[in-house]
Amino acid sequence: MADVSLPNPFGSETADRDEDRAQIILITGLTLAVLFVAVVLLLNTVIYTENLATRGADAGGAEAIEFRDGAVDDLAGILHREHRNGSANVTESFGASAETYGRTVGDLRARDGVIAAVRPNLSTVEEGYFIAQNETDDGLRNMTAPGSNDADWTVAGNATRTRNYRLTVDPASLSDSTSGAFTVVADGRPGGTNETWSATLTRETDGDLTVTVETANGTTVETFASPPDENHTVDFTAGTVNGEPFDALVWAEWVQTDGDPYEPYDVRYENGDRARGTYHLVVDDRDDGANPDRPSRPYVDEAIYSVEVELLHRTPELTYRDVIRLAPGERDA
Amino acid sequence: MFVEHLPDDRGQAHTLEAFTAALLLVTGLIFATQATAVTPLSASTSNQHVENQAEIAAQDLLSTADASGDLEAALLYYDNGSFVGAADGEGYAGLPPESHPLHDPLTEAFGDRQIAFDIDVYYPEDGGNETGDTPMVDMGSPTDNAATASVRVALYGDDRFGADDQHVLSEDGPGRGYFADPADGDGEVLYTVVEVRITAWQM
Repeated sequence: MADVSLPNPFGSETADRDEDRAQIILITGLTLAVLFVAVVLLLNTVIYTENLATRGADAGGAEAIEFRDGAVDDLAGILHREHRNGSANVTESFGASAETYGRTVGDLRARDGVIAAVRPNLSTVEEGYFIAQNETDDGLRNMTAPGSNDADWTVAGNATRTRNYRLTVDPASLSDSTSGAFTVVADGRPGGTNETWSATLTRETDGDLTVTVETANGTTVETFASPPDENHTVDFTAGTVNGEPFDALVWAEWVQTDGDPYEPYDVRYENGDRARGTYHLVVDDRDDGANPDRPSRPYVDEAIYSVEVELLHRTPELTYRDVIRLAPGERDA
Repeated sequence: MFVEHLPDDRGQAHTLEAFTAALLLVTGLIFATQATAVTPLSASTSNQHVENQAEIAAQDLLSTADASGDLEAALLYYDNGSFVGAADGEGYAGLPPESHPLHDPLTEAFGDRQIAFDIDVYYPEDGGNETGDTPMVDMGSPTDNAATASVRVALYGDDRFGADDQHVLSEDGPGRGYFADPADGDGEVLYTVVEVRITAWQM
């Protein structure tokens, strides 16, 4: 075209070309901008996609396990309180409390889209006895027999298993030497293991507590510092003193058997006048020692030794179902 | 003379066009970066890390406080219709006061790391037909990238509540304005079960 057109005296052709280029610059600018947006968005999506893919790998098992652990702890708390309150029909009232617990927890879980159920199976209840000495109005009491003040006496006779055995003692009341000191004895009956296990509590000059554990396998001695509130707490079945683990403190080692047949033994106190404090324990059976339905300390009440609880925790990804045996504070627990 | 002047005018126009084009390019770039800004909070790998960290911190805090008993103590630190030291029914506006059982863990997990959080407590109402909630800590509305964690805590009838633990739940709970009523009956053994939920987000 250009060569057949008359040359424009004002050079308008060159001006046209320049105007075209300005337009190209504008278009290029816009295109580049759009391109950048597209590239950045694309890269971002790639990163995000990979990230989403890796993050969904967890099916939520931890959540279910947490639910189970929480339910076990809470039901153990309910069970202990049922015993301590001396509920008349402990199985029935535990069942009612556990049902309330299950319903409430189920409602709360439902808000997160989880179907959860906690159901105690009351037909699996193993009955036992709860023996406890609480604080009196004047404070701690001697560890002597109820009524007669005998220093050496049987707390529970013919028991085969013990759980949640915890004893709190005022160090000022304890003996300084092991002879004549307060001792907790698990005494295997001649028909059973016929072994003897004992833990003797003595005081150090600064109020620290020394525990001497004597088993068929030998003697272990360890001293524990005083806790802030001065009273020492010994958990025989958990094997701790003031919350610190004491490896040698294994309740009724060699005396209590772990499986059928469970061999009978007596839980006895020696020199109960050399210790002031409180204690509570649950035994699976007893036919001797402190009597049930006793109005004075220690109390003996019918209790639940163990019960099975059915658990369900269902999310869209995972269905978790379990039957757990609830026997808080057993020796091996 | 007329012919000589024309190219001068065109040069000015070109310069102006060049500026406009440059401006357009830069504006386009700015728009591009603004529209798809990758900050720690926008959807990307790092944002997910921030969210995951906040969620794990919240879950761990709840687990440890639940195990140590601090969480239950915090729920029972309630007197005269509000958590002790908080405005009536509104919860704490920031970190709880030093006397609060959760002060130290919350400070360490969130306060020192500039993470804002809400703590809400959900409890059954009307015999379990409804769920009520009360704020323990209310720092405002969470962002879209907030993480949550929750745990359930059982409250027993013999638990003591109040600024000095002066009230017993089953006896004084409803009468003394405790936020939750018994889940069933008089709540002598199991008072109720509440859910504590932490919502945490990067400020």
